[in-house]
Amino acid sequence: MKILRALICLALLLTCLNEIRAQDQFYSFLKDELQREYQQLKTADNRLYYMSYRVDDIKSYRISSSFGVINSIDSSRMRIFSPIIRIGDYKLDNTHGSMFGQIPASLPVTDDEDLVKLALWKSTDAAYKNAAQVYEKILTDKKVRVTEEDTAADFSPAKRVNHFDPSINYNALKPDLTKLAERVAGFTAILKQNPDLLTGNGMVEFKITRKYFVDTDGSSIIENSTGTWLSITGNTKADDGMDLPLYQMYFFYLPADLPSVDSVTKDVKNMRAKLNALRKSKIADPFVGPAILSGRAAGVFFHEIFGHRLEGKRMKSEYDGQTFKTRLGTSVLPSFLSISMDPTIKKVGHTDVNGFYLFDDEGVQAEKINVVEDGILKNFLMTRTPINGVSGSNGHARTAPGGVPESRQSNLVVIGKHNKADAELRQLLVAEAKKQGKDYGYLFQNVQGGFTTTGRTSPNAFNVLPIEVYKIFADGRPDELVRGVDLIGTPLSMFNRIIASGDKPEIFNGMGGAGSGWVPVSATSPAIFVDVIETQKKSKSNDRLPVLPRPDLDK
Amino acid sequence: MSKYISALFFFIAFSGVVKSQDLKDNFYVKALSQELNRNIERLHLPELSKPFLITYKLRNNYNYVIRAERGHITSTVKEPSVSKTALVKLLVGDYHRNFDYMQYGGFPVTLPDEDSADEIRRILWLETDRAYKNTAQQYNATLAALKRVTVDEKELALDDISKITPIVKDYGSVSPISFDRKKWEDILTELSRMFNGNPELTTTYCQLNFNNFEDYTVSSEGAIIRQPSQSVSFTAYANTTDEEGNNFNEGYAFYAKDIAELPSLETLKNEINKIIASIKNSKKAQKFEEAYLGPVLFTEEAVPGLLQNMFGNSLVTRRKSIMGYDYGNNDYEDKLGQKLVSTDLTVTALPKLASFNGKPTTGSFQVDDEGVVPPDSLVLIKNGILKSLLNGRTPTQKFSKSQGFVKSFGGRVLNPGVLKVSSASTIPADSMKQRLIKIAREDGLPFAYIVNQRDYTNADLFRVDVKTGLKTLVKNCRISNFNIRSLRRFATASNKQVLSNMPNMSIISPQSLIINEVEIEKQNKTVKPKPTIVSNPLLDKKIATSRGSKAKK
Repeated sequence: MKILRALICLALLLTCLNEIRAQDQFYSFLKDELQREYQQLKTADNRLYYMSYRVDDIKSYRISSSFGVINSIDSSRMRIFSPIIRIGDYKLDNTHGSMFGQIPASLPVTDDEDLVKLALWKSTDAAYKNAAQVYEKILTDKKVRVTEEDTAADFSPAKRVNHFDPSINYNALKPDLTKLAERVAGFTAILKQNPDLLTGNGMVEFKITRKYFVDTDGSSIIENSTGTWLSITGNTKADDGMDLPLYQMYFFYLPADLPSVDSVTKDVKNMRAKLNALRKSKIADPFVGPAILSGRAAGVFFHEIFGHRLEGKRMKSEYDGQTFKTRLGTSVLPSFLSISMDPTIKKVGHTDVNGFYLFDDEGVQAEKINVVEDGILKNFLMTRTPINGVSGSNGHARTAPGGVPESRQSNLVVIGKHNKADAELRQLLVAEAKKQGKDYGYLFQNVQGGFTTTGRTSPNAFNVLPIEVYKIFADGRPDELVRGVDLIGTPLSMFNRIIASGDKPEIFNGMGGAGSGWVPVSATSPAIFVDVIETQKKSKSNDRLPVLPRPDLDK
Repeated sequence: MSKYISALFFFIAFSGVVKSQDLKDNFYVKALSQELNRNIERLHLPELSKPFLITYKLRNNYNYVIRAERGHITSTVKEPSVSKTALVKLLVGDYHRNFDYMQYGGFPVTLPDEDSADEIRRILWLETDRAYKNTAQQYNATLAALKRVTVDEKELALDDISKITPIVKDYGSVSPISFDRKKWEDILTELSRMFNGNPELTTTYCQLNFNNFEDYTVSSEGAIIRQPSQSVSFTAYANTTDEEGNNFNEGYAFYAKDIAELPSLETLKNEINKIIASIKNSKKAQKFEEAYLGPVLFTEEAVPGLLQNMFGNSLVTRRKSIMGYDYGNNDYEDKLGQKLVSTDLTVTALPKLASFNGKPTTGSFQVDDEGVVPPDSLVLIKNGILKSLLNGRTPTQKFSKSQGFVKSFGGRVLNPGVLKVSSASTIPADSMKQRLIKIAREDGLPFAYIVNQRDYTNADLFRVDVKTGLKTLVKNCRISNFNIRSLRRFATASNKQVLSNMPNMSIISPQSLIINEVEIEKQNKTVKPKPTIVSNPLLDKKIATSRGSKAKK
């Protein structure tokens, strides 16, 4: 028996050693092929001055459930290859003014050198030909167009970096899928007990990512990361056809850290009750007046109206609104607020935050950036693409696998001074409502996300999408849950309306979408009191409720 | 004797009842039936017509793909996948007017992997409700639009869907995919490694695909059907480009119902060697520069390729839209009774033919996807004259009843299942080349041509010297202006009938056939991609390895 156990241990050890060796080999294949390609392409076209290879090697586990039933248990592994080719020089190259043009490809998940190199070779050729064609067009554009406002270079040097995370032991990280499936099915079974719900879904996703980066400047990076999402969604429909979803989302780095069954059960039961209340709630009319944004709502609010406007690379474009491009050193927020973007933190307090990374997607070490100190704008989120007045990356070039790295947010953290307790914020709101002659103000308790437009061709507006909103009455009546409200506005007019901040930070973990795809982000903020906000009616479905009752209730 | 007959009759009748009762007790049938009955009885919005026909389908799907490249298994999914899909079809109005043929064949939804009657019914409930509201809206909108146009009375008189006698029948189930995975991974690894000695082949693979499913159909007309389907295929492929950017690829595919029917390892090795040789030969082949009009011998894969293109999905009915849409398709219904192809040719659909010469057919089926049992045999073309067309439940002027040829889970694709093409004029297979040469010589042509690839229109061809009979491969050519009318110039066929299996269709046909007055012209490709700039990494490695070994010596 002991011998058998020893043999099994030995076999497992050998399997792990093989896996580890394969991961190291894969890196050397990338590095060798990059050098070979660069030498030959440079000989063929001496305008080529920089190349990088990025590979996102992603192992995913997914479990989905609805109303207590397991829908699917899947796992997959893929390698997404993103070659970057720069033709021209640092001043002007083929990436000029472009946020697209990447030609990603999938690489075989194998440790065979020939297969990996063949795939790299084919994709690199397509990427080079695309880059060369784009560069010719850019040279022509320069001749027929007026001089651009931003005269900064297209690329800047960066410090050479070598960083190698240890090989991943995939077997050790494999979650207990059966146990997780039982848990998530248990949560969605709670939703089934609400007869008004049309759907009740749950999803657990665990991703293990090993990111490889090599470039012709000599940087070599291998960075590992993990992320686990548990999401529970319930959906009901009001009699007027409005779809009413609520979400409960949890982010942790490892599945083992997910909250206890009791804790999630409590949240899901709470959500189930709120869905009932929402069905019965009234639709709110468009409104202008005072409001409190909870910490989560405020986090999304700052992410949308502020964070996206600090993304440096987009300011190079003359199509961008460039809200803050010339405002460095000036007051942009009330003096009691400071904001940092910090990809170097994995937790805020005891909570895991989703925007952590060591190196960005251009191979630059991540840095914490204090973008606003005491209301004064101090810095932008920079990639290796400079803009007039700001040069040098601070490690915020990010992209979804396969995309072109852009300036993107990470962990946004808002810190307030002279903070007020919830009751004090409420008193401020009541007082302001009375002052403005309003019967009530709003409390935006929870949001599902938001979006903003930063270009010049459409109004530079933002939209935060609340899913739990209360009226707080000036005359002291109990709060009233309402539905069908979107929080809207234009950024510059909003900043001076922030009057006070709360004393408890709350965290919103999510995925931020922009030109370079979806990247993991978080926003941490205290609640804020705003003396004037504007709302509009939420768009809604006109479909009637189902004609027949839900089958399990139609006895 | 009379007692015996009575007892036998009772036994047959009873066993039939047991079978249909077994099917009615099936977990999926029960879930589908319960939800269907509730909806057909009670789904109704005020001032809108009730649905008069609801059909639910459920597919239990088992899929698996193993892929090997250059001696390595590269598919990352290690277990067969299991999935379930349902389809809701709902009609408002009545059999005469419901505009069925102008709508989707059904609304698909994904069902959970775990068997739960509550969840299956909940998903069907939401989808049926949605389908009802959509269909009722479309129905009323189309009725209103009809008031703006004048429609041919004969077309207007047609029903939109034909009535059928619903069947309750269990045609069997399929088992989850089960096979010796290790053995087949080893085989694929070995076969894919055979390409390694040819580093100029930059894309190569061998792949095994399994697709098993069982379909359940339950309709408010009373149909309850379970039918299985099982298929497996082996494919091999290789590709390369030359220094001028010309692309060369070659593949092999074998389709069967069961893995045991796949060719032996030795046969598969031969096929891989043929792929490699074919690409090498193609690279060296002469370019076709002239124009040609004369006889062509279609052989090997070119025969099922040609016959599938000509007859596979084209000899079908087409309902004219009463809203005036013209899809521009060929309307064969008006040509019934007319000569369509050579009088030597007869084309027959044999949908239920399960095997031919002991070899199972991949296309056969016992009941179509609208729940109609097809005939054993339907002659489509007899001695060159168009006799009938494949159809389903959509009536047309000359076909008011379904003949049971709809084969698509959620659509209306018509398929013969097994198609037999026979010729009244045949000669021995080994005389075909001589006959080709004879016809060419009589036409005063110096050459004739042979094509043997499935994609016959763009294949490399063999040029046959009429004087010497020698064959030379030529490339950069295409067969042009070739359509069903070209088969009026059919000359002869070999006397051996063979079965060719394809996904969802089988063709029984002569092994080879000659067609006269086929046009061949050179490819008019004026643009092709530039070759890859950087050298092939495998060739670089080969050079480095040979240098290394020379240095050691």
